[in-house]
Amino acid sequence: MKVELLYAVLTLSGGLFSLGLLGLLLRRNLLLAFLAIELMLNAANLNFLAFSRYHNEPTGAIFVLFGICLAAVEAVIGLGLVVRLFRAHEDLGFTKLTALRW
Amino acid sequence: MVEQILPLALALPLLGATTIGLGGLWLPILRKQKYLIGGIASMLVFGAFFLFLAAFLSYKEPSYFAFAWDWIALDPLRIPLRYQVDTLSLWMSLIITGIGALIHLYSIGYMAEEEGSWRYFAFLNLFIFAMLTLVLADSLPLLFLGWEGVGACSYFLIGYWFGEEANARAAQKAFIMNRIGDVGLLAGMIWLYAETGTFDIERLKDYMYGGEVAMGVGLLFFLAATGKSAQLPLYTWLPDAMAGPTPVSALIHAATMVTAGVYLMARMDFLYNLTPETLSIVGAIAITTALLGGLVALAQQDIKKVLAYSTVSQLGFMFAAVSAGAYTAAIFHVFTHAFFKALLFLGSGSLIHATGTQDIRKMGGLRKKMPITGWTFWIGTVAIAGIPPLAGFFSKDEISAAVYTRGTTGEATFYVYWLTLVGVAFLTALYMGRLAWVALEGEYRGEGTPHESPPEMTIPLGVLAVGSIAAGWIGLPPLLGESWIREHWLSQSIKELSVPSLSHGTELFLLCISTIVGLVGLGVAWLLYGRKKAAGDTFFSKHLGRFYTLLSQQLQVDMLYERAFVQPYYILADLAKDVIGPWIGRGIPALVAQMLSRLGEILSRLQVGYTPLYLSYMIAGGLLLLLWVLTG
Amino acid sequence: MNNYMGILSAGWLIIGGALVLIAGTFQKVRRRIPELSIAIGGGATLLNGLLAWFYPLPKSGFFGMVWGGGIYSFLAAGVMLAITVGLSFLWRSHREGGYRGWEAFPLTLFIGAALSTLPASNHLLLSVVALETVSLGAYVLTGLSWENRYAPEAAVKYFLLGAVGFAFLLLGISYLYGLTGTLYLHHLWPMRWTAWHGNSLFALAMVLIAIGILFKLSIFPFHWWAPDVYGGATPSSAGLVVALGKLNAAFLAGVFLHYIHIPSDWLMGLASIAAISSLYGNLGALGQTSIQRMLGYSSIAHGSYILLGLVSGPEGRLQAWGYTLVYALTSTLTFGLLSLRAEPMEYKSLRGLGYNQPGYALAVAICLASLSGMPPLIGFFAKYGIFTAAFRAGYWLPSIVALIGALIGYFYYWRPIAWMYQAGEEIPIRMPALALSTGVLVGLGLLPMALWGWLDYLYGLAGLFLPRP
Repeated sequence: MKVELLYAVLTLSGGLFSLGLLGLLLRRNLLLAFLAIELMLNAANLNFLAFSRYHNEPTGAIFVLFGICLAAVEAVIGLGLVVRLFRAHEDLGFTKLTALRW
Repeated sequence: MVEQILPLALALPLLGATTIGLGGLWLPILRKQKYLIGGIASMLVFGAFFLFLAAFLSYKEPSYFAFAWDWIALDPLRIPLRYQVDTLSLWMSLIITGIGALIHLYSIGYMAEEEGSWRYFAFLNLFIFAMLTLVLADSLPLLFLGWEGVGACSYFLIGYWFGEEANARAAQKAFIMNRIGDVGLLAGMIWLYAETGTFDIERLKDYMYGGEVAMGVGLLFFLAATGKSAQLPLYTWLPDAMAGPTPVSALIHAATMVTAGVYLMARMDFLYNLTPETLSIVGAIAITTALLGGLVALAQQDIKKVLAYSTVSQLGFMFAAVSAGAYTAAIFHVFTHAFFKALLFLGSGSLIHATGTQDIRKMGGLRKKMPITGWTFWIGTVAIAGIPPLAGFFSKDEISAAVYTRGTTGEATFYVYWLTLVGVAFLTALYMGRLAWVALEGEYRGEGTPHESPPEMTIPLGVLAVGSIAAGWIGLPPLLGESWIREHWLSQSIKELSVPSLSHGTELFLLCISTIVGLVGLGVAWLLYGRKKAAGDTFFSKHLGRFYTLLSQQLQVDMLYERAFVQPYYILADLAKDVIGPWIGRGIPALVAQMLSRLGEILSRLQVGYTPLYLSYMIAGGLLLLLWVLTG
Repeated sequence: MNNYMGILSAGWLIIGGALVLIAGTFQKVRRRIPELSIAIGGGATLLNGLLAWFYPLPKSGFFGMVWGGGIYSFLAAGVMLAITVGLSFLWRSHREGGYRGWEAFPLTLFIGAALSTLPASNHLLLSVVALETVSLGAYVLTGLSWENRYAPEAAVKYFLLGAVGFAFLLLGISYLYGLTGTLYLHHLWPMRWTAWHGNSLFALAMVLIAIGILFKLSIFPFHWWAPDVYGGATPSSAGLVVALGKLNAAFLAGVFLHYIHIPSDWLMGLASIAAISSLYGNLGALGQTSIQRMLGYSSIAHGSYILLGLVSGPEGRLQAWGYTLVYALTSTLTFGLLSLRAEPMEYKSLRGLGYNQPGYALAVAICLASLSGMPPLIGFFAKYGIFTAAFRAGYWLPSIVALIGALIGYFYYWRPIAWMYQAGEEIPIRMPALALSTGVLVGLGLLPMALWGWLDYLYGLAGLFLPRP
């Protein structure tokens, strides 16, 4: 893998990460917030893949498998929380959760 | 060899304490198995004793047992978890586990009717462990741990029947009196560390030289010893400590724990050798205590009180030996005293067990009804009175010879000390003779029909009686042969204050004085109590008048302390409550606290509970961090 | 056996957890699950303790990915002790809650498996998986309640912010991988880090990793979740959640700081952040009226002490690990004890407790005193170790500021104690109370010091004291 391509991929992943961060800040719905988090995690995964090819070394690629797995588990727990929250508040807007403060 | 034995011997009583303690707490079934509990506890201590015996037989040179890691590892303070076996600590360990094992055995019978004796045996085992830690410790903090550990066990066991207020009070008194002394140990320890930078006893020996430090630390350690070993002015807890079960009084408050102070001073011999002036102060206090204890013992009617004051007096003897620089004589007296005082206490326990009272006026004629207890009690009496060839004679004679010798070096006060000691020896024979004749001879004056105690109680009595007869023979005076314990054993770890040796004539003179004083004391006791059937008390109260009443009221020291220390303390506390607290305590500190609380409330308003805002704070923080790192 | 020593405890816990999981599906067995789980957790504590005792020299195994024995088993034993204590408090609430939510027990065992592997990990893949397993479990434990109406909110906040923190950490590790081309930690060790000290990618990676770790340690300004989560979490599991978060972060940070050479001015910066964080956490805790929320704020302060230790060289890292273990154990105990009461966690509700329930009140008081750093208790020795290491490392100003913070801490930790012994009719303290206090003092003060010495010894044996090439 050439350095130019590496830089391109790194830029892409950086963009993905920032997009996820922005999404988290701007969206008020818990489900959409999860999507944003997935975006951020996958930006890191993309980095691993790119570096793995660049170094010609497989651990980075293997890491991605585990990363995807972790993201999936995270999604499962997140969806469980969504259900829990919906039962308690009948709403998925996490920005209204301000009972705990000060 | 010793390195392998020691951890096992230390672990056994600890194992007993934890298993019996936790088992008793959590397994109600176990609590009912009193013989099992007592049996386990005794077996473990016997095991420890035989291990120490093996170590004794194979002893060659001082050795250590250390954990690979440090007890306290906070640089620069590093205190290793290390135990040291030398002749002194091994000898003390033998006394502790040997006498301790016999008393454990005795306790099985004594506590047989007691509910919840698991608590008793757990603490007794824990006591053995703590006491072993005390004597085997190689550094002062570890010694202090053992010192406090025995104090705590003593507290728990004095207050064993804490349902009664008096017992709980006695326990607290012992605890507090001991704490006063402990301040001395702690302060001395820290002072030494500040001067030398080490807590290690062996290394301290190399660092110490005379001067104020040695004197100050020596006095502080002596303060600690007055607390634990019941010397003036802190002795008042010991007579009250008799509130505990009698075997506890025998083990802790007569044979072992109270000798810890003597051990401490023998261990710290180098400090005292450097400053003989300190020893003169020790001597004055020791002699006064011995005299006071002997006088008060004469006027007590409670059998355990008599023995308690006798212990105070005998401890005075030991410190008198220390003051003469004859630490081996002190340890020798610890050894013989452990036998006959444990014997006397256990015998009195057997009498109390049979008659149900501690008042000697309600006893009498018990030798015929309880022959084993009676005869062994007599052996103990003769031994403590200092009649040859029983044990007490040899150790007491060595002490008085040492004090006399110190007098010949030009310290004239030691002649006075010696004379007083002779007087106290006479008193000892007198009050012990009184006790034996009143309690054991004549007609029975109590209720019911007392019976001899079960074998688990009489066997220890027999063993201790043999010890009370023979224990002194390892320390023969130079005139009669060679003192094995001094020349061949303790001299390896204790360095005595060097004094010239006595001529044979003087020595013979001292031996004769000791013997005669003991015999005369017993003879006077026979005249007053044996022949004329307890007429002695009226004789004394007639001739001594108010002084005798004062003696029977234990000199009213408790009331004196109450007036001199406790009441002023209450006044001080009231002052703090009414004046210092409201006027000074609630001024500036309250203002600062208020301001800080306000500040805290304002700061916590940042915590608005709105998640996206938290996120943006975080991102801002991260960007700042990045900016700082990139710009350097 | 030696090669598998590193995964012995994790294997035991995973198999045990799976068994518990299967057993829980049977209605009849369900009520026995707490006992079973506590036995498995206690077994793991014992197993790790024995490994640490008999194999003081750690051995690498499992393709060099994980260490076993020595200090690693010791740390695992400490972790499992805290988790077992936490489990035993869950037991009570589990029984009173009608055996719902039994999944918390196998879950906690799995968390234990991950957390006890984390310090022993020699590979970043393993570290990341372990770290995230623990975090995910902590999110679930936070929200684990049917009664507590704040629990869902706390869990959602923890989850959202935690996931972001993890994303930062992962991105940072990916850059680190890009720089070095390896995920083995011991490969990182001999690298010539000084060459990278001007490299901006290295700086970016380090900042991202730092954010991830500082977030988990709840250091200002990444701490925002901590008061809300710890204050809102279900009391019976809040202690565990606090302990898990701190242990997680301290282990990972300790390993990173051991293998990677960080420029000293960056470390100084971290120490300064720790000092600010200490002030913030302690002052924030001062303004609280609920004990649980106070403890939440105070966790910020404790995180700052841990950070201060972590940046203070090898000795400081040792002290930080010891401190974290002590803090994990004490906070689990404190939260657990407080959760035994049905009353709300307000200071006021404690009034007179010291007279009505002397033993219980004393236990709470001693835990709080230890957290505040009272001298004869282990909490004091832990703080002492951290601050001496920090002073020695030359962080004078940050240490003094953090110490002032710790001083403020005394005020709010002793306030509940003052409430407990206030008013009520006057009943003198009896014998058992005094006896108990002596026992706890020895148990919490003098004996753990020997364990601390053991930790110190094993740390040295593992070569974690060695200077970098």
